[in-house]
Amino acid sequence: MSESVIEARNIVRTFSQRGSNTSFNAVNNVSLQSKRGEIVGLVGESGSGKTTFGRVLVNLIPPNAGTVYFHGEKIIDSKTNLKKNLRRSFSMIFQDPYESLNPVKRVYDILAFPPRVHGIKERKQLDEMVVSALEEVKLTPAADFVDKYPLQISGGQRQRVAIARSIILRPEFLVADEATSMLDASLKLGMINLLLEIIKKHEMTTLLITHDLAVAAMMCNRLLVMYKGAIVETGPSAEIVNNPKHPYSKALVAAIPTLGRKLSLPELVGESGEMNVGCKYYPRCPARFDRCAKEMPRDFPVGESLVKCFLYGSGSEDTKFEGTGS
Amino acid sequence: MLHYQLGHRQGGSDFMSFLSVEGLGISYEIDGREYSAVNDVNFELKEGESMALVGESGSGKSTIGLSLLGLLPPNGKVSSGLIRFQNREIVLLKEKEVRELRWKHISMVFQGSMNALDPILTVRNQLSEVLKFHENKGKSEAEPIIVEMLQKVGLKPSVMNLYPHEMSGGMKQRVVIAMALLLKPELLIADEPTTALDVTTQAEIIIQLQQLIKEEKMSVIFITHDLSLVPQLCSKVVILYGGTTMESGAVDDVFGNPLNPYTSALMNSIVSLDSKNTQAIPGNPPTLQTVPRGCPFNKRCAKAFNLCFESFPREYNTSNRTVRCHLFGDSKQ
Repeated sequence: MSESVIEARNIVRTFSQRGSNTSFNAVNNVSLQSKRGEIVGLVGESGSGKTTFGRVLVNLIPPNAGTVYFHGEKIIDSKTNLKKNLRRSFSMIFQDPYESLNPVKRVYDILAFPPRVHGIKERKQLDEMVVSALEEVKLTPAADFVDKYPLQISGGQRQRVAIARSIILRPEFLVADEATSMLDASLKLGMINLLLEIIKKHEMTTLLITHDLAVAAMMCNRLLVMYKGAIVETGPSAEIVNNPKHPYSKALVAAIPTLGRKLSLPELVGESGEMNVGCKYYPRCPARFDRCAKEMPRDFPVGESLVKCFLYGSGSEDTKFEGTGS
Repeated sequence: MLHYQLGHRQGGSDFMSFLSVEGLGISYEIDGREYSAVNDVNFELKEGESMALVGESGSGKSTIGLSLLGLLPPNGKVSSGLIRFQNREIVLLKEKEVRELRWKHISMVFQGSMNALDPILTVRNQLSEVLKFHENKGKSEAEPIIVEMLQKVGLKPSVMNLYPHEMSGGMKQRVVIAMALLLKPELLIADEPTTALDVTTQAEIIIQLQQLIKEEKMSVIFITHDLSLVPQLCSKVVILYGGTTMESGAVDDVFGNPLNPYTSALMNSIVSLDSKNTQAIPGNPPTLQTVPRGCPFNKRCAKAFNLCFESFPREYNTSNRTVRCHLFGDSKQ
């Protein structure tokens, strides 16, 4: 366990609605453990809690319960915030490069902001850091970009600036939130390759948040599939893509359009309603049975994967079901 | 209309054509300068056919869609070419005549359904406005038509009472589709109808659209940046880049054996579950102000030779498709 760079245990994050007593768990008991240089993918649809989990990990918002460890040391829980000297080891690429860059700041100042916050004031050193960050994201010659405002560069270039900003302090842990989703088809692969190159070079431990399973499968060794705040399946990328086990993962894989295959309708029974008890996927699940409505399944091991579904275990013991169990 | 040039192709007039676009050019005026956004675009759509316009941002795909409805923004204008719909010349019609065509004969699902609905109107009011405006139908007359159409797109009649903020993205998209189909148009233009949606919702909507196209016997122009959605809905595809048609033909032909270097580069760069040996395209797509001289793809093309930087290639017809590339001309390297 000590070899993991980042470890999150049983993170819960709750949001309450203004003016009412109702609250819901955006992130419900999610754990993560990653080694140095590992890229873990967090996939799921919008509203599943992916971004909230990412924000908890870099301490932009505190968790309501659960603990985050960094090199085995407890650094974040509901009462403890990340210390400033550690913050430089944590970084995030935000979703939308159009909104995450300050439009009235030049690229230079956007990139020099994180080092300045961390006490680097000397102009020469800042210059060097900015230039090398720009070179790293292939915005060369750097001199062409430092004086530009975000509006004066293209969407793809803006995304590169956003990446440069997030790696300028050489973080050990990076959360990349939909870093390739806003890009045009002909640019997407280039950005994926660039990110992979930078992550490998600095051995950054990365959580890649995306709704695009194909991108996740291409970049990550391991995937977490999230649905309504909970991780419903986790395992090696190839296993989840080629042989998904949880009914939700199956629907997710089936829904991805590819050139060579006609789309099949993910088999859904109903609307994605709320469940207070039982499995969150119950309202839509084609393989559901009575028990699923009454009890939240725990993680059952299936090969190298963990699956939160009664189809793969009975609960009290680990006797596996044969067949579909409907 | 003085500097308006008519397209001159094939001579003989084809009375049966449903929609034909010939030599279409569209320009935008920005800060007193004219920029060409669409250049020599040609395609034809038969009745009941579904065709995809595929391109990246800035390729001109939405601009072409808007021009078919006479909805170009005030600084945009059709500078050349023809848009012939059921023997009517859309470019030459008066605003009043276009308005009669719009929605009743040609309708559109606009990009960004999240923002396409009026936030202060319920679905009922929003949809009955269409029926009131175009067919002068009162509320009681409109209601059954609205219910029927909502059911066709997979929504319960109770959705009528909801405001946009009370609906999920998928529901809003279905309402927008229902609104576009309300007057049973012969041609539907769907501009990125699933772009902001989750993959599972996207799959549901695409399959719903497949069924609707069949049931209503509509012709469809599907505007998208996502190549992999094309075979799901369309039999014909037009690939756009930098404002012009790079390649067009039957979906199976074009994707099975892409001829234009842009098409094949794009296909090789697709990240999908079954993609192998992917290869990124260097550089950036051009913007309105930076479309290069010659072929718009020349700077990023691995097969470009000197002619590609000098002259804009014309379209060449091969046995089963049209390709805009100097490699298919006589002066190829």
